[in-house]
Amino acid sequence: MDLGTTLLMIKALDGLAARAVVTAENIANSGTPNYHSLKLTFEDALKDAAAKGGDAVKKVMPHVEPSIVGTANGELRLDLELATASTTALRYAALIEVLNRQTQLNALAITGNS
Amino acid sequence: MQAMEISRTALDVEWRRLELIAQNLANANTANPPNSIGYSAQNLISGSRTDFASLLDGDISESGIESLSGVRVYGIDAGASSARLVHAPGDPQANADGYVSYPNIDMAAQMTSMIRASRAYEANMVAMNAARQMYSKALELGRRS
Repeated sequence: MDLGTTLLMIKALDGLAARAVVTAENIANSGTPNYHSLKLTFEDALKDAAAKGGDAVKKVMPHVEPSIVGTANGELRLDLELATASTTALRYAALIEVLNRQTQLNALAITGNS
Repeated sequence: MQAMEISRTALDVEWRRLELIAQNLANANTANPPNSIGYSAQNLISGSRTDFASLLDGDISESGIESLSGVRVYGIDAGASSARLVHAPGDPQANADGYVSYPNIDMAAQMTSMIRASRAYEANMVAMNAARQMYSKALELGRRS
């Protein structure tokens, strides 16, 4: 696994952490009248940047926009937000796991099998 | 830890909302003293701490996300004081015409708000746990198994 892949994973971790913040903000505002929920996207930008190379990946920033998902009377869909929260946490955990395996492989390569 | 801080502010706000609802329900049968303004149902006014418009001008950077800081209580709306008059001439709180005035509290509306507040509280608890799971996973980065 090369450095570019590590950079991609770190950027994805950043994006997921930011999404956790945005989701927490949405859920916290479930009682706020006229609140428009926010949506954070970074995956597509990251995918495009990955095709271009390392410098483009470094410049990728999460994009926040008002979400169109909601009930007819403009209320927040709490269930969907909670689903986002737990998906984000699981994907974050998965990425950490992959990074950990990679560091273990690197450590093994450095020390040899001793 | 920002996500947890945000959920924490919301837990506080919903807790206060529940306290007010309990207060309203508890006072449903508190007679108002004659010739005075008595108890009226109170509503909690809460809202986002962040100015929402500031989030919407285009691509917000990391600092934009850092400006998200949850919700807070903006005030308590005492509501219109309307009274429910009950004819009870023997009551010491009765006025000259023999009517006792009680606060006019809409029980159904209070119960509905109570359910909403407790659902919101639970949702914030779940969100906080998801964030906690993420942070504790991040602590495992680089740990040898």
